[in-house]
Amino acid sequence: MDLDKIAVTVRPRTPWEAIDLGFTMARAWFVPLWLLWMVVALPVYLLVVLLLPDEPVWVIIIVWWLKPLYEPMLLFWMSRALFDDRVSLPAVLKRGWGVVWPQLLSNITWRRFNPNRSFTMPVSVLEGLKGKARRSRIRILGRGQQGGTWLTIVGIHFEMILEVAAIILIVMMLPEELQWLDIDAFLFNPGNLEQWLQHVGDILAMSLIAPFYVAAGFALYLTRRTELEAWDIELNFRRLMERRKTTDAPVAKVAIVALCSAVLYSGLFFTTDLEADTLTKAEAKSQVEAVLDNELFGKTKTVNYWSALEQEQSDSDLGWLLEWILSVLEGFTHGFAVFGKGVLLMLAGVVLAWLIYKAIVNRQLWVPGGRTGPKRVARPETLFGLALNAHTLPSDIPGECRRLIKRGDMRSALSLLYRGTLLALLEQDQLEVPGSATEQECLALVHSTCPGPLADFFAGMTPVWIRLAYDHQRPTEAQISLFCQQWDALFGRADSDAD
Amino acid sequence: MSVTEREETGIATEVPAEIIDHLKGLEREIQKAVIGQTSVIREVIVGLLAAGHVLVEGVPGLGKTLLVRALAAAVGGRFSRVQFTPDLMPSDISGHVMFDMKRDAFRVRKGPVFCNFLLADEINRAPAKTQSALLEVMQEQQVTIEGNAYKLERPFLVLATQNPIEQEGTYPLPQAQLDRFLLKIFIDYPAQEEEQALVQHVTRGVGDQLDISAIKQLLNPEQIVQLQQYAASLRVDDQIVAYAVRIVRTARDWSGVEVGPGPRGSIALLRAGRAHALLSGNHFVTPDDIKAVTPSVLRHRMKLTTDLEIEGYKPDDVLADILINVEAPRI
Repeated sequence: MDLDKIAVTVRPRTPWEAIDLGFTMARAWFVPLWLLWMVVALPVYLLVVLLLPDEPVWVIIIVWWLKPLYEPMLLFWMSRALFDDRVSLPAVLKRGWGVVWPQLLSNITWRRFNPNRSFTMPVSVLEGLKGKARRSRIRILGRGQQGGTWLTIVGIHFEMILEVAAIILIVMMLPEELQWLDIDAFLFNPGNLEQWLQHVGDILAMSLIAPFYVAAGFALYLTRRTELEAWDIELNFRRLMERRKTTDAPVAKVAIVALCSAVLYSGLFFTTDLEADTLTKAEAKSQVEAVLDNELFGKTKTVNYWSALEQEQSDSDLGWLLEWILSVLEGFTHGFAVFGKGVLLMLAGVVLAWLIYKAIVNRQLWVPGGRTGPKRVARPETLFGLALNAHTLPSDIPGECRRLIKRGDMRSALSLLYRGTLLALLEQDQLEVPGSATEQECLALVHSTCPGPLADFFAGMTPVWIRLAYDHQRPTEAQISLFCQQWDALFGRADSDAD
Repeated sequence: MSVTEREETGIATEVPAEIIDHLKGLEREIQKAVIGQTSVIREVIVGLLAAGHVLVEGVPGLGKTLLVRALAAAVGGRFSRVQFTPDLMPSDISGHVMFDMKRDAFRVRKGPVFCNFLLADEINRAPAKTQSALLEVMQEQQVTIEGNAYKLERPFLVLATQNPIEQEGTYPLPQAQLDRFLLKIFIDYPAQEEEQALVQHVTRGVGDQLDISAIKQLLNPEQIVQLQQYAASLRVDDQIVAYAVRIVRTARDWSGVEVGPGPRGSIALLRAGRAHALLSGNHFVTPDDIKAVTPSVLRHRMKLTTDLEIEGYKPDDVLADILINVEAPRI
């Protein structure tokens, strides 16, 4: 990092000034930043569309969720451009995976809803810190910083406004012939078409906000580092040194010498980073005390005054009470925060476990052409009161049927045959029969699913079954025997092995 | 009922061919005048066979009057039409007592309700007291004038119509009165071919008068009463009764239904189911008969919640969901 080449004025700023600086940066570099976002986000969108063509809502939710996938590239490009190193888009994309991949899982899971995301992103992406080091760094950088959170809140609102504006624009620009697209349907009851059209607005809004969001977060980060590491002072010294090299004026020489003396003089008290590393704690303490004792640094003044003892007592009581209340409140809020954090972690764990479970269950979908097996059909256990479980049926249905005919039990014989036929149709032809289907509806389903001799056989048997079931008319022995023969011809012995 | 019981009762195992011929002929004759609208004709005949009244909803000019006149012509009954208006009085329908100057005595002047087939056109245009007068007649099948009760001739079928698009200045029928109608039928615009045939048929004569001259009288009112009695005697298995009750109870408890059908709904389902079975040539009722008549029997007996109504749901949509979710009979 060469601070001399930095493209912005380095000075201490309030968070609002920092955000303003970020917006200025985003405006200056908007085109490359926007292109970079689109180049990454659009393929992701198209891929999700391909995977979930019938779920427009899920498509846009997934694209929105994966924002931390697109933003590090913008940050990476900006961090180079800030020091006058304009990296071309292809070059950024080449290095993209290395920028995005580290900590991607964390960024799109438990860090996804961190409102300070834009501010902490440089720590992961640019400094490459992770784990404990990252947490410690963020703790130092984030002390007293709420700018990132407000940036997120404002960003969300602006994004929503832009989305609605885009929808209204689409509706307003539609020709009058397309009256079936109205604003109510778009906003409150969107159909499939409206949802796909909304995606245009959504992606446009996200792409417009993203450069400003990332740049403002980066500017907040830069400002904080400037504050902590005194980049502005360092830069000023460097410039003074440069000027000293380029000028011969005696007055200037004197001034420079004086300043350098001051710097050198201060160097006696302010240790360098290198020295700090080598100092022990005791040595450092003695040096700090020496600095504090110096009159140039400042002095301690003790002031004594009178105060009434009773009043002091009451003040101390109040102070004690106040302290106690504050400590309780602090403990409560702290406990609440810890509890919330625990709940969030648990939720994240549950969601992750569910996703893993679904991925394992649907693993055949990940294999090209994996879904080649027969479609499994949800089969009712009973239909028209008849148990359709293969275990309740004999292996030789026509044989059992003939035995029942000989015993004169026509009802049981026809019931068995009807049940066996339904089971065979469910097993072999994947006939989906809802529980509410009546006999005629079932017949219509058989006609549409497996037309031909099978449907003819079923069509012949259904009226006989209906008469038996609802009119208690006994079928003749010849009728059932004929059905048994037809069964043999249609299903043969193969069905006897069904169970 | 066991198999042996079924054989011992001596109930006919088939519908007599004569009845089937009559019903098919009736349908055919009405179709001579009313082009298309097959399902509407069928549902009106179901209402006739079940001795129930029918509420027809449809925009003007779809042949509602023609349908009733054709029905009256085919069964040889008396036909009356009353155009309901806001100033219509109950006595305009039921009749009144007037002083006969010639005979120097009071005599009863019977209203249009004394007929076999009454078309109550735009029933919701009359105020509640006039509607109530008619609905009382429908329920009791008799008219009381000056304290004397006059029985109506049987069959007595009321076909009331409603216009769904013009609601200004109307008096919507209360739920309790809607319940008196056995069926509510929607009459919709005919298909392209049907409308073409209809236009050709009507424009053959002078003007656009309704032409029912082609209809032959197939039955007389006594035969209709016999048909109604036969329909009422059709076998209904316990499972079918349970199925009808299950549908009604499910509709009552269904999410999105503010007021569901009462027990009269179950009764109406079975009555209409029997008529439908007879029209299909069966002498027993099957679940398909019940399912087929469910929308027209129950659609006017349920009130949807405001949420569903605002979302554009109709009772038919809810009934379709209910029929998908109610298990078919278990034997």
